[in-house]
Amino acid sequence: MATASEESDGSRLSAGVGAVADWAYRLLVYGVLLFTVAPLVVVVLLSFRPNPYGNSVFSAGWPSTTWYANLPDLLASLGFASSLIASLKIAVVTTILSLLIGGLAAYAIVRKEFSYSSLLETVLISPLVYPWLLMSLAILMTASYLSGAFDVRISMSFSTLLAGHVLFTFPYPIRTIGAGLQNYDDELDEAARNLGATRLDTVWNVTLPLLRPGIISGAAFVFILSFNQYIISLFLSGTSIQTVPLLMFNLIKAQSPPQIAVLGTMLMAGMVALTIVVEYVAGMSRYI
Amino acid sequence: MSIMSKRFREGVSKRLTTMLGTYGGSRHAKWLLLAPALLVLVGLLYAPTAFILQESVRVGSHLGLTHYASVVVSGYYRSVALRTLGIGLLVTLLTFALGFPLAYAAVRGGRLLGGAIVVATLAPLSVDLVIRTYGWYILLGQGGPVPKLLVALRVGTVESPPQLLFNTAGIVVGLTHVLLPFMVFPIMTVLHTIPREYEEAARNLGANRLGVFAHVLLPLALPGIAAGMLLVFTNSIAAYVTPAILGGSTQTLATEITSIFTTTNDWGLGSALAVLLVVVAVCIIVGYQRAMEAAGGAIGGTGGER
Amino acid sequence: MSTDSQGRVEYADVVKEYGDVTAVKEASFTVEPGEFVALLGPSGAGKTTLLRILAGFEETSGGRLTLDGRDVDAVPPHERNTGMVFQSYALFPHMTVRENIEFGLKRNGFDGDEIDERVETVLSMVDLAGYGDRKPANLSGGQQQRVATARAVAIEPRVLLMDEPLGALDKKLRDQLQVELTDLQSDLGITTLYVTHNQSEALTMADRIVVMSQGRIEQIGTPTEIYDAPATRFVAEFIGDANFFEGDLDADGESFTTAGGTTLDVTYDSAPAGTPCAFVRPERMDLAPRGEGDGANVVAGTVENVRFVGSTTQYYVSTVDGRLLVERQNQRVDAAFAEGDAVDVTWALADTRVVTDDPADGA
Repeated sequence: MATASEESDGSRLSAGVGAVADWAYRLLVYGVLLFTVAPLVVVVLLSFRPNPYGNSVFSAGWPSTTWYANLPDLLASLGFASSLIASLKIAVVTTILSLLIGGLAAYAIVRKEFSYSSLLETVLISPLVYPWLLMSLAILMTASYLSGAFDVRISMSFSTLLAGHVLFTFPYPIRTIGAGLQNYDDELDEAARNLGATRLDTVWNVTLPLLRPGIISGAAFVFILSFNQYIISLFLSGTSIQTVPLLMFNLIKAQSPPQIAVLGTMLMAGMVALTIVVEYVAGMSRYI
Repeated sequence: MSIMSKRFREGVSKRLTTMLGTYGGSRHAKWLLLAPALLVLVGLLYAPTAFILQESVRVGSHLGLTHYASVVVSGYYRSVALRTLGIGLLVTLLTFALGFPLAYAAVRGGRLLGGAIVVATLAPLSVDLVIRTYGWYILLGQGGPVPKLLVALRVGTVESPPQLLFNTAGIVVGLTHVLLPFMVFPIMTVLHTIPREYEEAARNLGANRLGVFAHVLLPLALPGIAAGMLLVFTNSIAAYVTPAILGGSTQTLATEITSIFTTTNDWGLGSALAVLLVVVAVCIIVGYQRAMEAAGGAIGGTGGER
Repeated sequence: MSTDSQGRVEYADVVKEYGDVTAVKEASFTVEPGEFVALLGPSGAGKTTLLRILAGFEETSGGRLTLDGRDVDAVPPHERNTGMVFQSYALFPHMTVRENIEFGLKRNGFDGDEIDERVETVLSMVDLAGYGDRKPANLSGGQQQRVATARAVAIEPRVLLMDEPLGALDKKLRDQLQVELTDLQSDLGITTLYVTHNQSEALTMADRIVVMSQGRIEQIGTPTEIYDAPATRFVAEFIGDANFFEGDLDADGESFTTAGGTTLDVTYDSAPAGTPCAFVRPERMDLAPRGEGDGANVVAGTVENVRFVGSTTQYYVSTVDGRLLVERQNQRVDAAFAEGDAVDVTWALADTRVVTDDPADGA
């Protein structure tokens, strides 16, 4: 009798512990979710603040669309349009080049035999773990050394910026397209050939459509990373180009909160929308 | 097991090689496919890195370790280097502590929660680092929501609220947020491959939640955890934007190197610090690969061969 | 080109090497127009390689391969007009069933109305009319198999190549599709090369069987020939069940002394080279109570194990020549034997075959 009641007490106790653990776990998960979105949400909230100063998010008159109403003037005064165009230009060209370079490399390492293939793969994706700061410094130093030592003028411009952006982004398509190629059933290509398709026809109508998620995800990674890149652009863009992240950083250093909040909210909306669409279409999170 | 799969892979790649060899032109054509990537790597990464290395040991017109000596002797640089490594370690542990439960919930918590977690983790990744960091700047700043909340919870007082901005704490919070996705997604990928039955079997055999985590999930998810930790650590010791905005005058190796190059222009000293940073990163990566090979041997169950 | 010369395949001393490994050793055989030939053997025997060489996915290392008298070596895969059904089906996942079938039709000179018509025809041929707009992922395994077959025959290939087409299906579905595929093949009169490792599939479906082992052709013949008169011990072992007796042929050439000391009456066509052994199919053996056995060959033994299999019963009988398997039809309830019974195992002279060890095995 006593044993039975002890047992039931014990199991009731452990059930209680289980329920508490369940709740603690749930609390932790939602807490972390809050943590991930908090800095984004606060920027959005801040953009509706009427007065520009202080750190409190909500103040009298919130929400106010004052800053949005003045958006055209704000953009014009900051020269935002030229920054946006510069960022888009560099991001688009980088995306095209990195997809090509990375796509060809992915095809080679998955489909061809190399003597030291795993070493080769590590070498190819090494920019993924190489500090961005050092990449850009090394390029900057080398360029300025070459300019001094020889009579080659290498000044920081669109082309050096592009070089830096391609260097740090091209491994992403290697990973996303390479993953697609690795899971690819080669019999599909053979079936197409067997049904009368030439090699090019097969690549275009069978292989590429099936690799589409990897290609789209790779393109999205490159575009987003290039568009948001700060440190590499800082060192390699020279004086004439100011990308959006450079502009935003300068705004923070100049203590202009409302402008940052408004611009940040709009940029964020664009990027988050792009990411959600790509995640839905191609499942890009699988490739991180 | 590993022998079988190796043979299988060889068979497949042999078949492929024959196929492509037949139609794919010469034996050297494959190098042509890699040429653009290798050109970018050598021209823009390896050669410039070699140049930094050379600069770090060049004193005037001959070689010497003067720059390294001045880094080692200086208490200031030692403390910056130690702070950077400490931040890296702390951020790695924090992202794991927060990231593993999140990844687990995303994989096992049903479609709705899973989708919400993926979006909430992925979306910040796409937002300009400067904007995200600015969010923390507001949240952590004096009179901001987080210090207020902490004071309400009796951490610190109204007169001297906890200082979370322009110091190491700010950098750690910011980097933990920035690098969390790099911990969550690799772990999620691995957890997806672990059948739920393993956990149920462990519970059935008498393990409690902690036991399931320690003896089933942790060992099986180790490759993903290690990959996540590698990414987080190397990224956090090299990060620039977050320490620059949230650290104030608190320097890390990255901000220190940047300020040397942009203000004093002392190439030798800057290069020596840069080489230190690269050496740490390379050691971590090599160590990771060694550990993965060892773990692969143990998990792969090839017995006492290794 | 006359229609009846369509689809004649001739392998002449075809060799395939991968580096040091020889996958196919001088294979020679002919497939006549409209014939159904099965390539049968264990995995790694080289059957699939022979198929892939004909489809153009592999190059020969030696020998000659002709399709309707024309050397195919220089013809790229997409111009060979061979319809292949892959083991994985290789249905394009991003296309509907209709688009899958149209893919080949568009590239083989069919146009407009003709394409629509052919799609409907082949879909109803495989009982899938109305499934045209589905994606392959929304079909069952058996339906996917049928689509793969329909896609391959739609282009009216000179030869249909099937690589373990039923390998991924469960037994019941496999049996059903075996019948359907045979009917389809004979209706269309299409030359067919069919790779399988399943001996009953080859026996029931094929006009002729090419048995392969380790890259070598062991025997070519009709199912009956292969079953009743296997050329090598490998063939006898691989197809059906068999009781083997190790031993030696006597000098007179009409009897065989087993390792256990029994003398068996045997028949054989010509004096075999290599190590001989005698074998008897289980269903050709019968049982009688000890001492009552009657026939050319009688071996005494004890029933060790009885397995009721439905239409037949299998008896494992221990004898001086090892354990023999005897399979009897279940029609005479009275003649059943039980475990421990002392019996005679009997069989006729014509059912005692002599084959030699595979020389490759002995090496």
